[in-house]
Amino acid sequence: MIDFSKLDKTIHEKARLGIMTLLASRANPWPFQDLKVELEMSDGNLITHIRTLEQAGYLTGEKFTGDGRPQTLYTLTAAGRKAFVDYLAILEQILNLGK
Amino acid sequence: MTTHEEAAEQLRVIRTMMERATIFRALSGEAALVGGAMSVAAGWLSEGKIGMKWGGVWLVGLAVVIVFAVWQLLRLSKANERPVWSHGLKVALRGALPPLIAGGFLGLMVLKYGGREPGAVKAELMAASFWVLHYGLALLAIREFAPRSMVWLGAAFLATGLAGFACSTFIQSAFPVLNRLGPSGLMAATFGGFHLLYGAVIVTTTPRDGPGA
Repeated sequence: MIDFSKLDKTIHEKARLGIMTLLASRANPWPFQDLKVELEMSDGNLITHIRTLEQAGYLTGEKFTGDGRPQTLYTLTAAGRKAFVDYLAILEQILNLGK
Repeated sequence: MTTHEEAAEQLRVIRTMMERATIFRALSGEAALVGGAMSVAAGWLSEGKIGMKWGGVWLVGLAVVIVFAVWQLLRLSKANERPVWSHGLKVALRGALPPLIAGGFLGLMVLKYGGREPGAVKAELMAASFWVLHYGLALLAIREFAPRSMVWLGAAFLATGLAGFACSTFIQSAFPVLNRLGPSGLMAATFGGFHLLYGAVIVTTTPRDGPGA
């Protein structure tokens, strides 16, 4: 029996799911600007969702202020990666249930 | 929306995002075929030439392939309503350019200053080995963003490039075979043969309505 309440509501929102997926897609950190372009989101919208995920402990941001323009690079935390994998497992169970 | 439909929709979002995180995979099939055909032609045209004249033929071929690849990229990004200068492309270029520049530079240096005394390894053969080897390294450098098939292609170039050096130097028994193939033959067999084989597999196995390899 699947407990649907186990679906992580933080990840379940589409914009946040997009952010989590992009971050999970590779080991390298993602710059804020690249996330914005790929997700086609405004600065304000993206930062709001990033803050929610940061507060949940799913991602971390690191600011870089080298010679060029300062930028923030985001990566999934271990907890974030586990939450994403768990979320996928539940989605898979739901889909298998419908077969 | 039922829970099942919602789960399917969420998986669709994940799939789309995963595809965006990779480079344009649909580019590889057609670009590989054009690159392969161009390399076979360059192999034929460069036969008998030496030094920078030999290298020039390959540089012209490379320029034609780059123009085609850029046109293909623009066309695909317009069709998919995606920015050309995507994150995947930027990261892929960051990974691929260093080995490409290094290999191109070393090959041209060997062509320009390589020894021509009797018994020495042909400068063109060394240049071809440098280019094949470094192209393989470039493909392997973007393996994180490329389909698995491209990793195999990179490994094939890397192995052939190393074999080219080995057969030109310490594996003397294999040198006659490599010498008979010649630098143009080595380039045509790898940049031509490998790409044609790879492109044919990708084009015939990839659905036309979406990216993939």
